[in-house]
Amino acid sequence: MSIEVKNIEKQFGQFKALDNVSLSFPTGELVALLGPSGCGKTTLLRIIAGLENPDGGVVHFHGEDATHVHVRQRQVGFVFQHYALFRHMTVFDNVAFGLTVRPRGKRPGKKEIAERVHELLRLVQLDWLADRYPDQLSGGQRQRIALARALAVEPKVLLLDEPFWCTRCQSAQRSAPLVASSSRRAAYHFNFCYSRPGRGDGSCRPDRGVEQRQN
Amino acid sequence: MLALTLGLSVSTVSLAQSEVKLLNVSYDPTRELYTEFNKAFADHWQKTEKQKVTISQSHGGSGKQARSVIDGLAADVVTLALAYDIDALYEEAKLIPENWQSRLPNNSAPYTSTIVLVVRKGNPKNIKDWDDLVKPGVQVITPNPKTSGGARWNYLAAWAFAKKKYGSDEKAREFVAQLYKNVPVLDSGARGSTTTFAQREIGDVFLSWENEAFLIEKEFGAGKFDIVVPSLSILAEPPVTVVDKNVEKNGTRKVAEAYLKFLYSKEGQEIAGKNFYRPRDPEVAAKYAKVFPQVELITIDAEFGGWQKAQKEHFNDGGVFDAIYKPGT
Amino acid sequence: MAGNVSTLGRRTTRINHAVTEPLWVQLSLITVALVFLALFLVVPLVAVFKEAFSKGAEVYFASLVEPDAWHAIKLTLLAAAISVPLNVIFGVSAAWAITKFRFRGKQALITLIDLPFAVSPVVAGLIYVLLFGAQGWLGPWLADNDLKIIFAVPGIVLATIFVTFPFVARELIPLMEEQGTSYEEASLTLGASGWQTFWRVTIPSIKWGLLYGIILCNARAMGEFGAVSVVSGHIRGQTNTLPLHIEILYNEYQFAASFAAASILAGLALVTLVVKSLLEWQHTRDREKAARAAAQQS
Repeated sequence: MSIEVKNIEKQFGQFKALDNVSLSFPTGELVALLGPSGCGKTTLLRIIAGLENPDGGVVHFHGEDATHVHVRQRQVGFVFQHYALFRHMTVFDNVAFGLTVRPRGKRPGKKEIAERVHELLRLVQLDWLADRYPDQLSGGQRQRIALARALAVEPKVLLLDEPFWCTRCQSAQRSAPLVASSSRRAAYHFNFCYSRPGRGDGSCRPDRGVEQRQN
Repeated sequence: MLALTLGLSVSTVSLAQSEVKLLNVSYDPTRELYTEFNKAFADHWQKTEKQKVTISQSHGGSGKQARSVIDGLAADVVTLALAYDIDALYEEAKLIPENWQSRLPNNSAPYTSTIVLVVRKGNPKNIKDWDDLVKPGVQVITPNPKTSGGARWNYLAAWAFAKKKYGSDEKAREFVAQLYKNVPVLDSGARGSTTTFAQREIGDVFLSWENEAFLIEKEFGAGKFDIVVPSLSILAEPPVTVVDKNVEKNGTRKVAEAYLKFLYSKEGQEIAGKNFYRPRDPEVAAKYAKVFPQVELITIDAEFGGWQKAQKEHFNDGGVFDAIYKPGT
Repeated sequence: MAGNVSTLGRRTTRINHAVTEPLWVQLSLITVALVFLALFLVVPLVAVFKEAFSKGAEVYFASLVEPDAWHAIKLTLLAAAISVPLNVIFGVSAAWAITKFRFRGKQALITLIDLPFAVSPVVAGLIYVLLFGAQGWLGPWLADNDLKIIFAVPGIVLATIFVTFPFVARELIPLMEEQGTSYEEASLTLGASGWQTFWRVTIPSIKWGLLYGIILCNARAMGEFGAVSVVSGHIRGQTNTLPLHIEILYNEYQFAASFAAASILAGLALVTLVVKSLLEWQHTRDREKAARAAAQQS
């Protein structure tokens, strides 16, 4: 699915986070957003995901205006910077969450959910942690679970907010190729990751880098 | 959480036509009296009118209770400590007519009481009359007349005694001022003073309602206190009235009026006597003559020109009491 | 992360003996604390129960099943049963609004929530008299429509709600502020509805703070005296709550009965404390278990 943002504006109080930003991401491309801290990378991601409303401009998904589509309907997978894993749920329940909240008609059966969750956990190589709670995981493990959770709902777009901020976690680096491989394997048409300059570890080489500047 | 697990309902049972409810808003020391009287009246009403009557009681400081009725406490009848408090129902909210006090016999006071002196067993300070209260070294317990109805009676009784004995208001004022110098603590209400004297054992003499004095003997055990009746005291007339506005609304005028009339009946008078209130009925009074010693009783109306005047002169802010009572002197 | 939930989830700190005070200082501090505890908590508590049973167990139980006492107990529980759930709804909504939305007057709302803590309960009661009393603003209208608020059960419930309403909100605001909105956002991106997000993500993540707030709120609701006293009218068997009933019995020289009723309140307080301690204990245990497992892992 292609994404196009046009003339996006966003202001927080006095601070102008995004000023007339226009970008286009064709289907299937892995793009990294680069730029110094505070230049609006996260804000742009959140607007694409539907977690923020832009003050001006439009977001097009596959040519259709998605600016006012609710975050629930956008089918965007979002991996938060600090992962936001549900602390009161096991790893299994975290990954299963997106499937279990589906409306009754579209909800897969229990067995199907379990299969799907374990498949994803195997994909991130953490199937053995299914019964653990997020508190019991290392940073890199959490990130991979967050990735599995986001993939569980088969999003059309995958957004990763600062996926490699935790460069000291070796495990985080292990997840980098996963992003690439899992995305392609699961036949997502489009992936979208972003990172700070100089932090790319080489194995998750974006197809393209877009640099944002502070204005 | 406990509350949540218990399925509760405090819904009022819907009333059949054959049932009627009354609310009597009264003052503190009448609790025991009305517990007994309400039972007797309910029986009486059942017998004569074939109707069930449930009477609820509310007790508290007389002035505070009057205030609650003014603010909407739906009393069918009030039975308070002094006419001044009932007057307020007319003055503040026109709940009753101005002439309420002339609607029932004896100034609408079906029973009376007076102020007596309660001393410790054997009367160690040899207290016989009001004079003895101003002697140095005697500690007198009485509540604050600014807040307590009973305390005003105490104060006025002492005043009347001194005026009669020494002949003038000036002398009376000196006497009362002297008396309050012997008061170590001023509680805000009558029951508070009772506890101070009887339970905390502070003070040598306690100025008390006669009925309350007998009650203390009953509650704390006979033989711990003696009751001294002074040579002169005051006639306390706790009045009663139907609250017209409320009975009109509740449709309870008939039963409310019968309730108060029953206080004047032989049976009602008997219950008053048993609960240490002096009965008005001469026959019943004669029966209780042994309990209530003869004492010269002055009235507020004759001596002080009525409650309104006495209140204004003595107890309102800037009145005599404020002038003579200086704590710590 | 749970460290801010008032006393919940405290970490046990290991005492460093190198920098600790001399033994005598420790001992005297401990003694002072224990003596205070004994004097101001244990002795009165024992006294309540001793006095309650001073005339034997029969009098004790008789005074509790006596209709007025029983009614007072029921009314107290009813007031708590109404005010606590309302409080939970209000507290969660207020905390939600304050921590998840940006809006004007937020600071004013936080201050207003604290108002019942700052205002004397008696004043709170008088406010209701002023509003709903026969001489009050709404009094005549209420009288015309035959509605009773003060000197009736609704007034008591209202007064109870007023004095308790900060408890849940106060407990939740810092907790939810700290957690931020990312859990809810994650839930939404995974396709959950607002309702599902609330029940499956928000509520579980604030449940300890919520339970703690409910416990405190319940304790206050059952124990409130001042505000309720003003609006009660003290009609026996109708508008007396347990604390008011205790005062009445005491004033009637029925000391044993009065302390029997007091022992019920004290008992409820003890139950509350036990529940609270159990919750804290379980909460710390869960946390420690998690920490241990994590430690083994790395």
